[in-house]
Amino acid sequence: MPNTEYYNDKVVRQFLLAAAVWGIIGMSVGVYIAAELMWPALNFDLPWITFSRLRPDHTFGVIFAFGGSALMGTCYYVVQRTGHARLALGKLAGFTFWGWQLICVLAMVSMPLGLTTSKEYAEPEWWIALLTAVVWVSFGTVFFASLARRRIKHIYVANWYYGAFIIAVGLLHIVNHLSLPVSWTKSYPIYSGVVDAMVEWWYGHNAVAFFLTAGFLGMMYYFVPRQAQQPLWSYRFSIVNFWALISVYMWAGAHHLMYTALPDWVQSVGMAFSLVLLMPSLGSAANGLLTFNGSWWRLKIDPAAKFMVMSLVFYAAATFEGSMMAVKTVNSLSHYTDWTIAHVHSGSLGWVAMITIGSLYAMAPRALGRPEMYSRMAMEWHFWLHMAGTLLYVGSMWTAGVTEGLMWRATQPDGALTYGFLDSLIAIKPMYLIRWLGGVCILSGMWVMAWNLWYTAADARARLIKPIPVPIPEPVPHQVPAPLPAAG
Amino acid sequence: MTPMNPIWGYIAGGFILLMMFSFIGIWIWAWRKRHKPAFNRMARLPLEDEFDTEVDTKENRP
Amino acid sequence: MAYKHFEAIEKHAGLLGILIAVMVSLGGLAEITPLFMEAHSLKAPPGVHPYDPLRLIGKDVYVREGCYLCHSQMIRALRFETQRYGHFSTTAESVYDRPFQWGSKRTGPDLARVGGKYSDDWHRMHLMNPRQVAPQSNMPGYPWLAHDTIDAADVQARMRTLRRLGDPYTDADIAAAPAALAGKTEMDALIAYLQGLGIRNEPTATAGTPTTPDDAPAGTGGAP
Repeated sequence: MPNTEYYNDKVVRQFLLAAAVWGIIGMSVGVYIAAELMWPALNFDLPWITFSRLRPDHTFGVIFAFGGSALMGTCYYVVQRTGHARLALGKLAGFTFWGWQLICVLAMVSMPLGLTTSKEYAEPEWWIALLTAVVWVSFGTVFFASLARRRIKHIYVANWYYGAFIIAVGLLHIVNHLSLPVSWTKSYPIYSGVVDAMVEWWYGHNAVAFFLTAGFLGMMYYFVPRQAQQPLWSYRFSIVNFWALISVYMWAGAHHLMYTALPDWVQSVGMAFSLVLLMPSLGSAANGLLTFNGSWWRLKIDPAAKFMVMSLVFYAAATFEGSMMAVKTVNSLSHYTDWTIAHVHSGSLGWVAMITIGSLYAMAPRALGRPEMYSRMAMEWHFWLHMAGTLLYVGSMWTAGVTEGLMWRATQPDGALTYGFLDSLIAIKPMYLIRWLGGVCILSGMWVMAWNLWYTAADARARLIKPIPVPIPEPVPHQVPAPLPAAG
Repeated sequence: MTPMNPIWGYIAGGFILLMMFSFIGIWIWAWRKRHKPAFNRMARLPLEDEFDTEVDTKENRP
Repeated sequence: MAYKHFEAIEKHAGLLGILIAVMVSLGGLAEITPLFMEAHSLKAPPGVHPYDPLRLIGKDVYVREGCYLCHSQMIRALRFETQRYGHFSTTAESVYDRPFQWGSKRTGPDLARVGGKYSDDWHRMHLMNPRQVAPQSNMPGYPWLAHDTIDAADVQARMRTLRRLGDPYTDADIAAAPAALAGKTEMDALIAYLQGLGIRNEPTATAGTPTTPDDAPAGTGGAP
C-alpha cells in the first residue's frame, strides 16, 4: 500500500490560532485588573468592568481559553506524531475545537455580567459547565480513539500525561459542579459550608495538578526532546515520576485550607503529601533539564529552547515553593496575602506560559508548513520581555506578600496589633505598580508572538500547505529494537 | 465538628501503604534490563518528526 | 508475571485510562469521603438559621459581585487573626452557605464577623464609593446596587431550590418573602447580609443595630 495517510494538522492550526488570541485577551484582562487595584476608579462605576467581576475572566481566559486551547492543540499534534497515525474521528475533533471556543466565549461574556458560581476557577454557571462536560468527553474520546489506532506498540509517555489530564479534569469538573439550578442565571451547589470548601479546593488544587501540571508536562515530554534534538534523559525515570505524581497530587489538596475550620487530620495529611510531592515534581523538572545535557549550545541559537529551559527552572522553583507554603508555619504567614499571587504567577507565567510558548514556537512552523518561525529576532524579544515581566511580577508580589504577612501579625509589646489592615495596603501599593508594569511587559511579548505567528502562517493563509504524510508502516516492532535513523 | 471516627485514619493509612508498595514495584519494573531497548526506542519518538519525513519511511519499508 | 501485567498497561490505552482514574480518585476519596460521612452529624448550632429572604439575596449579590475574590470569611485559629477579627470561624457557622464564601485572598479585610461593626449608613457610603470613608482604599465602588431592585418571585424560587437541597425553609417562610423584600434594593440586601455576618446568622436580628457580638475583636485591628 502506498503511503496515503496524512496527519490532521488543521485542527492543530485552529487551536494554535485560538491559543494566541485567547492568550492576548486573557492577559489584557489581567493587565487591566492589575491597573484597577492600583487606580480603583478605573471601573468607571460600571459593573462589568469592575475588578471583582473581571478577575474570573482573567483566570478563565488564561487557564482554560489560552492554556486549554494550547493543550488541546498540542495534544492532537503529539498523539498523532507519537503514534504514527492520523487523528481518529476528525469531525468530532473539529467539534471539540468549535465547542471549546463557544464555551470560552460564553464564559468570558457571562461572568462579567454576574453569572458566577463563585467557586474559584469553576465560575461559569451550570449550563456552560454542562456544555464543558460534553466537549470534554468528546475531547477524551478523540484522544483515546487516536491512541487506539496508533502504530507504535508502546504509548509514549507524553500521552500518559495528556491522558491523566483529560480523565482527571473531567472527573474534577463534574464532581465540583454538581448543583441544582434555580434559573438560567443562578444555581446552588449540592454541597454547603465545609464540605463545599473541601470539594472546591480538591478541585482547585487538582486543576493545578492535572490541568496546569500534568497537561503541560505532556507538552514538555514531547517538545523538550524535540527541541533539544536528543532523546529524553531517562525514559524509565519518567515512568516512575508519572505514577508518583498522579497518585500523590490528589492527597495534597487540603493545604489550601490550613488553620481553617477543616478537621486537623485532613490538614496534616495535606501538608505531608505536599512534601512527598516534591519528589515527582523535581524529578520531572530534572528529567527535562538533563535532556538538554550536551546540547546546551542550542540555547544560544534557539529561543524556543530558551523558553523551555526557563520553564523547567520555574517549574522546579514553583513546586518547591508550593510545598514549602504547604508547611503550616509558612502557610500561616503566606495565606491570604499576595505571596499566593506570586506563587501562582511564578507557576503560570514561569512554567505554564513559557513551556506553552516554547512548544508553540516548536510546533507552529511544522504545523504551518514552514522550515522555521518567521522571525527569530522577534522570538528573542518575546523571551526577554516575558522573562523581565515575570521577574517584575513575581518579585513585586513576593515582596508585597511577605510585607502583608508580617504586618498582619506584628504586635506591640503590650500585645496589641501594630497595624490596621489599611496600613498594609498602603505599604504595598508601590508593589502593585511594579506588578502592573510586569504585566505590560508580558502582554507586549504576546503581541510580538502574535505578529510572528501571523507572518509564519503566510502559507497557511494562502492555503499552500501540503499535508504531512504519516510514516507507515510501524518501522520497527518494539521487541527487536533498532533505533530509527536519527533526525537532524 | 465532632471528632472523626478513627477508622478513616486506618483506611487512609492502608491506601498509603498500598501506594508505597506499588511505587517501589514500578521503580523495580522500570529499571529492569529487559525494558531498556523498548524504552530507548520510545525515547527517540519525538525526534522522528523531522520536516523531511522521507527519512523515516524509505529505509523501513518492508 | 507482575511485570508483564504492568507492561500491558503501557500498551493498552483503555487500561491505562482506567488505572489513571483509579489512582487519581484514591486521594480524593480518602480525604473527602470521611467529610461526607461525618457531614450529616454536623448540625447547625443554636442561633444559626437559614438566611432570611433579604439576607439570602444579599448573599447572592455578594456572590455575583465577586466580593469573595478580595475578602475572606474565614478567621483562622491564630492569635493575630482572632485579635483582629474576632473568634475563629467554626465549621457549623457556614452550614447554610451555598456555596461557601471562605475566600482565598485578602486584598481587603476578613468579613466573617463584620456584622454590627459599622452602621448601615457607613456601609452604604462605603459601597457607593469606598474612598468617601477610607481615602486610601483600593476597593471599587458598587453604586449600581443602590438602584437595582429585587424580584420577589425569583427569591422564592431560590428558597424552594435551597429547600430541595435540605435547608429548612417552611412554606410560610417562602410565602412571607415578597413582603420582606418590598421596596428593598440590592444595596439594602447586601448591607443586611453584611450586618448579619458573624452575629450567629440570626435571621431575626435587626439588621443595622450595631450590636456588639460577644466574640467581638479586641485590639486596634478592626479598621477597614
